[in-house]
Amino acid sequence: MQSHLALREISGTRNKGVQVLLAIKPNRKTVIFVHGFSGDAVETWSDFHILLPAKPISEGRDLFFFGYDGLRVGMIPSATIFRNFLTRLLDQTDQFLNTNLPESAKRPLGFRYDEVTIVAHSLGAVVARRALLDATRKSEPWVANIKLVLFAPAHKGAKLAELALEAASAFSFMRLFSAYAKYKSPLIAELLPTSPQLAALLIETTNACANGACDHLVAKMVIIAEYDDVVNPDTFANDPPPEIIPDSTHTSVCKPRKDFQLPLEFLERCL
Amino acid sequence: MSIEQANFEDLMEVYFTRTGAEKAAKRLIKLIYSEKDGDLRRLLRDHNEEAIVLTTEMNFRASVDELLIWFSVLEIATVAGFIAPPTHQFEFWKSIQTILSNNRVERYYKKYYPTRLPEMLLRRINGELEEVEAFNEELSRTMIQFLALDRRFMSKLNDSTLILLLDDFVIKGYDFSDVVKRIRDPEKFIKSLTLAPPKRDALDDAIIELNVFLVFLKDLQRLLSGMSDYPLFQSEVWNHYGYWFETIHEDFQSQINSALDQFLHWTPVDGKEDAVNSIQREIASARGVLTDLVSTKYATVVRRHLR
Repeated sequence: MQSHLALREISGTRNKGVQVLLAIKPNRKTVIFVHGFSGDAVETWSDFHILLPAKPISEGRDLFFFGYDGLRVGMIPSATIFRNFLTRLLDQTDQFLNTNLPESAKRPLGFRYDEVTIVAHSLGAVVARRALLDATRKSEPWVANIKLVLFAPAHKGAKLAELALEAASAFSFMRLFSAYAKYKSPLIAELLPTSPQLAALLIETTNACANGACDHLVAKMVIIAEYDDVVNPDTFANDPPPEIIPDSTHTSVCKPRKDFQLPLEFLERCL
Repeated sequence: MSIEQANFEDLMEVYFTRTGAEKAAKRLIKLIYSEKDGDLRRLLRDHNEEAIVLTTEMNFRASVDELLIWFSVLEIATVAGFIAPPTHQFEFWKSIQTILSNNRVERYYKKYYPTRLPEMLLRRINGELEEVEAFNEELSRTMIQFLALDRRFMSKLNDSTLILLLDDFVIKGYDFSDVVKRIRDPEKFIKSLTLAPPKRDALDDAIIELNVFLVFLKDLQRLLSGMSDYPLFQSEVWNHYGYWFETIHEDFQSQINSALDQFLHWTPVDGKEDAVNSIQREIASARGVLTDLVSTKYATVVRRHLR
């Protein structure tokens, strides 16, 4: 039986490129995918939008794919945009969803999510973490329902120049010509291992998690690639030791296919 | 909630209500019922007979094209069991029948700008075609996969600068040969790829869209090759893009290949010799995707129904 409606772009927000697979029989749980540097809301995740709905565990879950400018916009603005999206989605869920649902599939008044799993890749992990920290400081009630699952997170620093080119092109060989890429992005400095932004992220997260508080700021699972030459894979704050996907790279680690289901299997374990 | 009804409403919003298709349908119905054959003949003429220069005519014809896309999606969705099949009980299907049966409209989508799926839909509404795929979960997921891909095409590529250049339009002084020349120079190509949106010109847009299009072609070919258990559905999805892969396939393939060939002239920088092998491998793969898509193997099943 069909478990989700067709992928659609969300209207009613200022966010560009937020897409969603809405469950036909919703169970008040959702998964929100956040792409990384120069990524795409859906394409970064390869076949997650095809394979995940086929799994029983996801049958009632709404699956959001959050899009933002992960190339030219700095970490703080992106995190603020994401936090505003979360606030709108999680505080006014019924109104927000019903403007995007056909008449016969509208949600009842008062519909809210009891469980929100944020799945983030690379820079997306930093954006999500920053957004959650700020939401925690603002005492947003929905933070308690959040779980974090991170693929190749960039919260300990990243080298971005080659990655940007590869992500922007149809061909992976483009990264071999990165010497020609001369573009400006605040993210290049912000994602250096020594950047003040990453230092602040670590200190604030560690402080917030002192004495076991703020469980939502500790990742449920961190998944790293065997051959990752982009991000520093060191453990962040109180996060658990990472799981590893053999024979994967920074970009392939979050891209499941029919013949490569490990990324999907790791996520399933967290749902 | 009926899933078929929810799917139908969803498709209607994306392909009909939110596009020019609804306007086109209303105007065509009005012209047909008021028997304004002269107006229809003029509006839906072959552009080779007399060029289309008035903005109002261009806009109307663009909305008719969107209407035909909507009809194609309805046909595909019916074959996949995604929506309920047509029934004469509903005014909705009768109005489609009226539009598609009109001889001026028929000439437009059969003779001047051939597209097969509206004809399949008309046959279905007329009761002359009943074949659908046996519905199952995998088929519904594949249909959702097709819709995701098509929505990507509609939002990022349809009416884009690249698509217009591939169709031999000249945009702000650029034609497709300029895209080819830009690819020849890796530094300029990469600059186009990484330029901030406010600084891009039409050629930069076309370069970025070319990358999106090549990924789209690869994903489409992968989708089609996984549909062999559903031959009618597979053929209809391919025919949905039939303008590129069949109607103008020779020019289309030649243009894309000439663009791809330019990458083969790139020489490694910083002594990275493995770049040459990487480029050759990936370009060969892209050419293979293109060759597969413009082959006639996916056309056969629909053609058989329309004989």
